Parts: sequence; C-alpha cells; structure tokens
Amino acid sequence: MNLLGKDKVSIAPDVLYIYSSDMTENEPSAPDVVVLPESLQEVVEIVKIANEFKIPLIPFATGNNVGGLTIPERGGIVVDMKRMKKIEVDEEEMYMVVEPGVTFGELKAYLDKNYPSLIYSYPLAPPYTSVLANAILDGLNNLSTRYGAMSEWIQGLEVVLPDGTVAKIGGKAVSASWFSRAPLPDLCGLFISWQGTTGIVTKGALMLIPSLPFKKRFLILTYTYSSAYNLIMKYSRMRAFDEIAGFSWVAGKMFFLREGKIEKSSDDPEFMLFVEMSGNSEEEIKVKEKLLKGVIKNLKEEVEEPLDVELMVKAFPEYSKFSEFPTTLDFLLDRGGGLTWVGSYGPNKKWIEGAEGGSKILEKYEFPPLLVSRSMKEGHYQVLRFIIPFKRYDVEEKKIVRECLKELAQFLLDKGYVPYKMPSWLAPIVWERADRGYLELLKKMKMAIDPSGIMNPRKLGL
Amino acid sequence: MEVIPHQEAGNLNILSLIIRELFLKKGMHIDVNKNFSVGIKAGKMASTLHFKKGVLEIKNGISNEINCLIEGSLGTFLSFTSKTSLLPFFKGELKIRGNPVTLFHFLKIIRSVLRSK
Repeated sequence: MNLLGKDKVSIAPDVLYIYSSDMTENEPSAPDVVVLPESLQEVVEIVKIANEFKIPLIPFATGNNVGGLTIPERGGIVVDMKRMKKIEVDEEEMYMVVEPGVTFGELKAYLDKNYPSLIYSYPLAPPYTSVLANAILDGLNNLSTRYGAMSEWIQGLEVVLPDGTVAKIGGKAVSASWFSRAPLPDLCGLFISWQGTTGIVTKGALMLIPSLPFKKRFLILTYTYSSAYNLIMKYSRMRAFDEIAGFSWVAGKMFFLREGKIEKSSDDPEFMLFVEMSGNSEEEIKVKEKLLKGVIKNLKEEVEEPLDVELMVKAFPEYSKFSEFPTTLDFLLDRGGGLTWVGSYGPNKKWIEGAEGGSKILEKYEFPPLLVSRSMKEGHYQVLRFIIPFKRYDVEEKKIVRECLKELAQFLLDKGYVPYKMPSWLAPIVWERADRGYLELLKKMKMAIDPSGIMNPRKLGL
Repeated sequence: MEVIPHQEAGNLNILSLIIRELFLKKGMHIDVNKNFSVGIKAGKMASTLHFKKGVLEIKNGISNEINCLIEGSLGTFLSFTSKTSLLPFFKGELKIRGNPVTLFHFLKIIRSVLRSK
C-alpha cells in the first residue's frame, strides 16, 4: 500500500471474490491481494516485492479468456492491468503499441476516430476483452483466415521478468522502431501462449493493415460437414477472401430462441459458413462475389445460394452480431451465465471427423452441438471450437460439463487438434502426448526465467 | 395477430424460426381476418404458415392444405420480404404455385409487417 497508494491496492473480500472465478467450469480460488498499477515502474516494483517474498503473481487484463487462466490457484497477487491503457500508432510503419488494459472496443473507437485508414483484427468476443491478452494467448480473430493466429500480428513485446528486469523484444531491442520481430533471435515466443507463467507483458507492438473501402459478407448454409469443408478449402485456396468461418446450426437457432431446448429439424442446414471479402473498388467486390458464387454452382444439392448478410441485418438488426466485430454473442450466455469450450487448432484433413465426432460427444452429454470454426492462414490449418453454455451456479451441471470437456479434449487430441488457451486441468492430458524433448525444453525455459515459480502458478501444469 | 408454433419452437427449422421472429417482432398488431395457408420453400427448408381467425400458426414442411406455395432461395425470399417488390417473381427467382389471390393476401400482410417499426 505504501508503494502504490490506497486506490491501487485492495484486500476487500468482495473485491477478492470478483477475481476468484470466471464464467468457466474452473474451480474458484481467491487471491490475497489485488493491485492495479498504472505504469511500467509500478509493475516492476510489484514484481520485485513478489520475487523477494516468493508470492505468486497473476497477470490479469480483463479475465475473459474462457480458460480459467487468471484464477489464482495458489492465492497471491492479482496484477490487474486495466489502468494501463496507452495506445500509440505509427501510421507510416503500420503498427501500434498497446498496453494490456486496452480493450477491443476502445481500440476500434480510437482507430476509427484517429486512423480510419488502418484496421486491426477483431475476435468473436465482447468489446471489453483485452487486445494484448488476445494476441499473446494466440486467439483467433476475423482476419485470421489471412494472417493466422493473433501472435502472428505481434511485432515486439515489452515484458517484466520475474526478477523485475524489463526487456524489449523484437526489432525494438536495437532500433527506435517496433517495425518487426525479425531479424534478431525471436524471444517473443517465450511469452506467447505461456499464460503469464514467464513474465508480465506490459506493451505489445501489433501490426495494423490498410482498411479497404468496400466490403461484403455472405452467409452460406451447407447441409453436411463434408460440403462445408469442400467450400472452406476451395475458398481458402482462392486467396480472395478475408474471412472464412462458421457455426454449426445451433448458433443460428440460439440466435432466434433465447431459451428452451433446441433440436435440429430434418431439413435444417448443418453448418452456416460466413465469407467476407474486401476490395479497393466495387468492381473488385463484384469479381470476388462471382468467384464465391461460381464454386457453389456445382454443389447445389448440398449448399444454399450465398445470402448477403446485409439482408439478414436489414430484417433483424441484431444479426449484425455475426458481422460487426468486436461482438457480444450474448444469446449464448443467456442460458445460465456459464460459458466454456475446448478450442483447438489442427490439420485440415481431420476437420470433418473432428466436427462430426465432437458434435456427437456434446449430444451424448445432452448439450447442443455448438461449434465455431475458422479457416486459418489461407487454409493451412483449421479451428474446431466446441462451446458449452451452461448454468454457472448449478454444481451438478458443472460436473457434467467437466466430463464432457475432458472427453472432447481427448477426442480432439486423437484427431491431431491441439487446444489453445488450455485450462490447467487440461495441461497434463496434453503433455502426456507431447514430445519428450519439447517438454524438457519447456521446463528448462520456465526454470531459467522463473526459478521461484511465482508467475501464475499451476498454469500450463508447470 | 397471435403467433404460435405448431410444434415446440425448438423444433422449428431455421426458415420457420426466421418467419416466426419476423411476425413476433413486427406483426403482433396486424389483424388478419382471412383464413388461408401459404407454403414457403427456401432451398431445402420448408415452412407452412396457417392464418386462421387472427392467429398465425407456423410449422415445418409443406402442408397439404396450402392455398399457395412460394419457392426460391433464402436470399431471394429475404430480399423479397425486405423490398416487397414483385421483381423476383418476374425474374423467375421466386416461383409461385396455387392461388394468386392468396399470394396477394400474403403480400399485404408482409408489407404491413415490414412497414411497422
């Protein structure tokens, strides 16, 4: 308290309670103290004290990771970064430097107002989620079909190591500019997907791209997963589209039905595929639209004609939740406040089996087979994310959710799909299958950087 | 007009749900004093709308009792409902079978639904 002042430190039980859980099935566990630093120097001072007394440190941005990643499993200090909100843009080099407290909603408003010629990539997540947390946790956003997982947008990081050392990583280590991660030995990987177990990221330089003036988004209903896959692969290889992503039929129904049981009707489509395109002129959009529709021509039995999403939005303005990012898919949370998933990245060739098999597992546990998928990095890999909305305070349902998630995770791993943002209960299951050398290296790196094990203990099973 | 699903709403197909939502949001104030049934086929999905004594009943599939059938893609159907232009019929994108008078009753209702806020 002497270090930061009263308004930046809390040990009040009601405050600690808020930080003890999230919307997932993961068990709650309260911190001993919550601190809210406003500057790099304050973060350094907090880390030095924690290091001296071997107190666990849990970096926290907004807590919306859907993996229980900020639940303090061994108590300690939650370092809530919400007050570190600076955004700086280098328009000429097309990057921005953001602090962890910057949310997608704030970033979009800032760019739209000050740099309308540049855009970032947005997730299927509420506007109050952290931009930097999403990037260092390797999330997937609406431009991931072109660029891959969000760590690919990172051009450099500023991190506070567990002993209080501050390091700038990327070209910035030598240059005045955060122009690129290359060409020095790339140490960003020591902080990407490590879930805060190696240090606290205080700044991230993230790529921006030019905003093109024309855009169009289509919805294509497909009747089988194999026809959906056929389209996904064909569209991915055309290199003409910004986003190729979709949902199982469940999301389409949940949008219109906020409560009650939903079932698939015999004539319902299996999968709703969204394809977005952008261009420098209307003519360019027309050409891309022609390409899009051309592929469908030979698949008429299994696929509906592309539907301009604008038409849906016109009839149902709330349908923009599927087209304007960041977005709040609140209709998924309307079913009891709990939400969890097994999200995974994996090989194209196992997508159909993964989608069909994962759906069957959800149905076995009497959950609607809600799947979100996206073609990544121009079709180099795919996403399979099975989502379970559940009654957050129903202990029995939580148990069933855990069993279901475990079976789903095993199944996806069998198909070669690897979970991202994995909760700590899942880590041992994943490591069982890991290459021994990789695991050794992982442990050595962790020991070298955080020998006292104070950084977000138990996460990643480390 | 009251809107009721013929079956559990959770069993309605997406087309039936879209129509249900449209009428629930914008059609509750409309009085329909004629009794008739319209079948709508959008791609593989099909729905029947029974207008009876001021109540709209929606069910999956095409009932035998329909007075007319409108057939096209979901996009053309939505485009038609948002503009209520007859152009898709003339262009052959929407096909109609059965009693044209029923179609005009239905068009009148759709127009009222879309004009309401």
